[in-house]
Amino acid sequence: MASSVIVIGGGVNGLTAACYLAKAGRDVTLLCEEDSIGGMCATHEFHPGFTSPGVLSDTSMFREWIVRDLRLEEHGLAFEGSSKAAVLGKERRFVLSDDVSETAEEIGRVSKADAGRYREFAAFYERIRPPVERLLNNIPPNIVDPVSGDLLPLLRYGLALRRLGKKDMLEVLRLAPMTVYDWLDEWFENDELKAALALPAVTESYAGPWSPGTNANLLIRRVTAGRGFKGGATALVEALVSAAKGFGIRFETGAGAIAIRPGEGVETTAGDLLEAKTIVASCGPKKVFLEMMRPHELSHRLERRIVNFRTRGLSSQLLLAVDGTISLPGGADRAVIADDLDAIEKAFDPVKYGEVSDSPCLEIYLASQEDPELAPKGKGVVSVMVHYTPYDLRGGWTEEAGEELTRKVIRILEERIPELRDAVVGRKLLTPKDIEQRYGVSGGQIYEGEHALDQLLVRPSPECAMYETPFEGLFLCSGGSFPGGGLTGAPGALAARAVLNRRSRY
Amino acid sequence: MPKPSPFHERTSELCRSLNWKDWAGYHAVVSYQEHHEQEYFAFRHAAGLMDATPLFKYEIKGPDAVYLLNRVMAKEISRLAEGRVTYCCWCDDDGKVLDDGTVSRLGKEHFRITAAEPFLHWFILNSRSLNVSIEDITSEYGMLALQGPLSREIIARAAGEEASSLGFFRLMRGSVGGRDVTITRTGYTGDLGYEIWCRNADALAVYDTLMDRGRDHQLMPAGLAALDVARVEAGFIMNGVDYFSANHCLTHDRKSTPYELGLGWSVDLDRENFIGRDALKREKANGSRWRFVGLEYDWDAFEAIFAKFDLPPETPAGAWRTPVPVFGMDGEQIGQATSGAWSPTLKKNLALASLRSGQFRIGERVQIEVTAEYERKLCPATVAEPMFYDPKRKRA
Repeated sequence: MASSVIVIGGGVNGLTAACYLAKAGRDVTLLCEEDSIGGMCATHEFHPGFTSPGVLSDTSMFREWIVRDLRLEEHGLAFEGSSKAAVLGKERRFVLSDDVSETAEEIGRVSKADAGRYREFAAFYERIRPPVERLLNNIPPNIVDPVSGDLLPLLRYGLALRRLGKKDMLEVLRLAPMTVYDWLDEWFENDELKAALALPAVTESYAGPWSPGTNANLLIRRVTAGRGFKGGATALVEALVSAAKGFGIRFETGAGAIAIRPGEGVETTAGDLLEAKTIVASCGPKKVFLEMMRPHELSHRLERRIVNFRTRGLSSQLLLAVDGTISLPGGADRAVIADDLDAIEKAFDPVKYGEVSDSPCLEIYLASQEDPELAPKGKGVVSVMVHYTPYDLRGGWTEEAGEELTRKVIRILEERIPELRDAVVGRKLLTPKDIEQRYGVSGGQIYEGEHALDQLLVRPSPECAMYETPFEGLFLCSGGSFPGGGLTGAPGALAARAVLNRRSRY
Repeated sequence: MPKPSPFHERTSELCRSLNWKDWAGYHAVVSYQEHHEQEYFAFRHAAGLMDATPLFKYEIKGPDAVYLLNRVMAKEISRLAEGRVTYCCWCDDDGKVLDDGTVSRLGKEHFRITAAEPFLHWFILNSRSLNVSIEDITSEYGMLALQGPLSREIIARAAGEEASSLGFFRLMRGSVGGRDVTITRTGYTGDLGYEIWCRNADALAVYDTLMDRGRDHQLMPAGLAALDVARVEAGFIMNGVDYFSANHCLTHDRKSTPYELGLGWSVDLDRENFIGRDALKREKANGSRWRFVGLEYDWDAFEAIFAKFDLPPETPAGAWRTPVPVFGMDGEQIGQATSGAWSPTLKKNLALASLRSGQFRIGERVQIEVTAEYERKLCPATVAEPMFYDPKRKRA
């Protein structure tokens, strides 16, 4: 049966786009293989009885307005009381959370000066939040081919920025192209604090903290971060699926999408053609244009741009099945191991040459603390994101190479979390190659495209920057579109808006 | 520094004039004799043998060779049968011509392309994920153009009777002087002719055999100057002269489309997407800005311009390629003539020009700029289809 819209992919963006479209009255079919529902948050058993929470787990950047629009709380979604991440330094540990006073107090244990500075730091981001949020929560301005109607939003952005006052406005304009190193160095003195704040800003860029433009990522993160959801990503996906069903979305889970025929429909792995005039693809742009369409369908220019869209995966995930419970300071469910900004830079450096540092930086997530169903009672699942690891490891990701990396990571973990010693009963490493294969993301890039300054606003290419593509009825809605990757829901929601704006045609 | 072609040992001995130029990185003979006239008449009345090795040559092989060429070429190459050659052009996304050349289909999955400019990178860029091999064979193969009314007799004596029955724009594999060659019934003179491809190692043997078999037919080595006059008579466009590859144009306006260059017949629009298709479809529907035409100078007026200065009419000694403006009879500029020549066969002063469409009709008169005694004058000329010389034997 022909539906008016097919959404390809059941990840957070695909589900979000589908919900918005169905809510607006479109007849929506969501095409996604059963075990891929959730996309990069889809779970899988990695060790008998132990389930992976997926490779994307941080829900703190999921937009609150989407929760409200789709009434996700009525589908069981609940905000976390607070989000906490422990900084596991060589000697000292402290906890960062979304509560500024609490965090400042914690920081005060390692640096009195930084405690005060942190309050100012947090207040600064709070002040500049409105204009930046306005930018990040709307279809990006048409700077590629602006017509008069596009000038108004641009003017509004400018006005909102101006309203910050001269000092803050100049600061916003100054900070985005900066290196996150220089920026944080202006604010703080404690190395571990700077590293902990910087790490999330650089991990999905082919960049270390010394690279220009990395500060834009910190800006986006600081401005959009919230509390996250109880139950983590699995809970978010469950709520979205429940909402989708409530909106009457048809789930086509028997097969996946294999080819896109713009204006006609989608060919499935089962060999069928699902007809629809409008196709919204939540898979990455490389997959859409370079795998699901035939080369001749693309213009030379579009093909080159998509080929050149950088999607080098830099993170590996080490999943650990542990006996007993692991706990982090302050009851945090996340932790960071990166001793200073140079340690992050040094972890990045070897990647350029196809190598892995001996001291990778780690982001630890006690997945089963958030979602107890992931592990048997009394046991736990720990997900460790390892930064950085090259997609094209020199010599290839052989079993030995994987083992060597696992050993390095476990050595660091056991040093900083002594409880882990002898507790690990099972483990599985997903290299960027494995991530690419399991989740279908090009290059194993979990943001569907590196978060570099040149790839943020015009994302993935000028002709597709506003979700619409040069192909009639084909829209993009993955993290490879504005405002980028991670569990934000924003590309999905904004792509749906782009479809609906075109209501005369689609 | 240009390099020698595999025929250099022979051509350098024959080139008495020492009149050479750099053609795409090769030493190429402009004229073997002091003046190219005899070589030109060889093309038109007997046969000329020209070293065309510097043309860029690419070999494309593999299961996706047809797919690649269908994507890149404005012509639908899948319709080109084995053993045939076609002339076509390729464009960028905006339908602007990048280059023109021939495509030969040697086998089901085996093609050879000639180009005026290097395009290896372009073919490779457009072959992402395709099962195809693309090779630049320019420096591995020599190529000779045997052109002129007696070329059929010569090719028959050199390569056998089969070669003499080779149809227009067909190809065959054969042997010349015991060496393997590919023979195509193609050329750039607008006359009966053949092009012979051989490996470098076989080049001298092939050259010697052709010259030997051609001796009784007044075969003569011919250079680029003679070719240039012949191609103007035939109305063949030249990349870098009559138009500029879109790759080299600094402005959009300077680029040309196939329709503007008179190559519209070679564009197959009604098929799956190829590079430039959408832009070309729009142009087909909306009309082109330019049209490629021939101009015939009004001889009496031309003579009169020079007579004013007590001078005989100064017809060009060879083909020229310095553009001159073309005006309507009302004096408004409507385009430019990009190359031209005095045609020794037709006894006419000819030019090839790009004129704004809608501002003239074929058969109408326009004015072309002529410089006489350092003064700019306007000479009336008649607009014609750009094919002044088209003997039946070319296709027969």
